Amino acid sequence: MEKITVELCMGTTCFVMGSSSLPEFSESLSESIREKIELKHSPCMGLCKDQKYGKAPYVKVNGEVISAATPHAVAVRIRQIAEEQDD
Amino acid sequence: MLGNGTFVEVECSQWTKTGQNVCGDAFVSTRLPAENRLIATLADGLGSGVKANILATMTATMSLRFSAANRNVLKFSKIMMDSLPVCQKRMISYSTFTIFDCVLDERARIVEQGNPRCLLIRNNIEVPLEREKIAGENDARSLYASSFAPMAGDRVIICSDGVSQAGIGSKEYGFGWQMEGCAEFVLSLIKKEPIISARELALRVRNEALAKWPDRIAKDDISCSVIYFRTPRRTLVLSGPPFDASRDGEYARMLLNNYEKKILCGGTTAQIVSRELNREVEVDMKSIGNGLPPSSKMKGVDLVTEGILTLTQAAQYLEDGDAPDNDPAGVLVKTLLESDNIKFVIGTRVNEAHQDPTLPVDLEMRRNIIKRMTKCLEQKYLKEIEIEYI
Ligand code: FES
Repeated sequence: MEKITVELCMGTTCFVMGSSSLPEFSESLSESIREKIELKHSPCMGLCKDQKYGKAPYVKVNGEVISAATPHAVAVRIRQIAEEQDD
Repeated sequence: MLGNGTFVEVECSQWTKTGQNVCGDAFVSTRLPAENRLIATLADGLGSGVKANILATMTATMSLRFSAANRNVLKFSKIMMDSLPVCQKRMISYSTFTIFDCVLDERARIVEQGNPRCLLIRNNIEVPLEREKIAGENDARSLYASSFAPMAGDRVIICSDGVSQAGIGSKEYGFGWQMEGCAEFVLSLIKKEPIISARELALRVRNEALAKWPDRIAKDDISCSVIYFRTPRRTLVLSGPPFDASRDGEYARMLLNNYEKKILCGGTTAQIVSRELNREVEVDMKSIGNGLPPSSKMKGVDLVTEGILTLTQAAQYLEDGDAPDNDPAGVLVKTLLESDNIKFVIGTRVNEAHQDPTLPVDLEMRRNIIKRMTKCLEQKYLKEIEIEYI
């Protein structure tokens, strides 16, 4: 089974921009997708120091940055990736 | 004798009699660096509440000042008795006291009047002190003097009768916990935790005494003070990225030096150290609490916290004098308070993102919070502080 890595940032900037609610992203996912997820957390992904990444909080899904992340946006991206993998 | 650089940790933990607003026991201590001397006094005022608090505070402070001025203890005890306010109901003025006066590397002298006997713990046994009665007919008003030559590792435990009489009249502890019971408890604790700090030990004794009272309703004020002669505990705190990134390696390698406790405060700081020393950092999501970001774990580091938010909260806890143990700032405060020397190495590179006016909270500058914290650690908690900016 192909894994999907999800990395949530718990650093200062991301935290004040609401990253503590990000772990909720998995609630709306099906059991089979949840099983594929490898969840990681970072003390700061270093993205907050560079404007080119847009606004915090940041999440990386399979290495790809989602800025101004919300649980919903993360779940949507994960579902897309899961569908692509199934095809 | 004491080895060079022995540090004397002095702490007191108190619990106020149930139903009262203020504690009727008073503990004060002072260091006289020029004489290499330390004096601490614990007084227990007659009765409880405000009146007792005034009696105790006056007694504790006066005996401290008189001792520091090398006045004769018999004379000043009398002066104190004569000058204390008289209780309207019982027409007596009264406060028991214990004075601990120590010239480091020489002698410790203890004068006791009415308080439960203090304990000297050495090599995990209680060493009996030879007490000489220096004044007084009846026991409650007698003055006893004793002395000993302090050695590294010694602990002196001075309690008010709220400890020795804890639980008195209850089914289980009819005669109270007694100092024998307290000594037994202290010895078993030290056996399990040989380097337990004075602060922690005082707190545990106080809690144990409180637990002896049925339903934890304390019928007397409880005080336990501990004086602990020990080698100083050195702690290193790294916080913030170095101004010049070419110094990241040098910064991270400071962690390899000899310190009892090593702390990192800051996400970027943790990343720098992780990269430079090739040590993994793992966020511990279970540590999230009280609205603070979680702490992380890293090999060889005792505590890795987020930066600004945690430090700001820790400064607040230090100023309030109370910290919970269920959030990273509280754990940080506890670790700092158990240290004697704390070295802060503060990275001065500013994180632009923190200055963004659209952030929902104002983030303080790292330097300012560190200043606030170190001022409090020095002045209120008598810690030795060193700050280096990088
Ligand atoms: S705090 Fe999230 S990238 Fe820095």
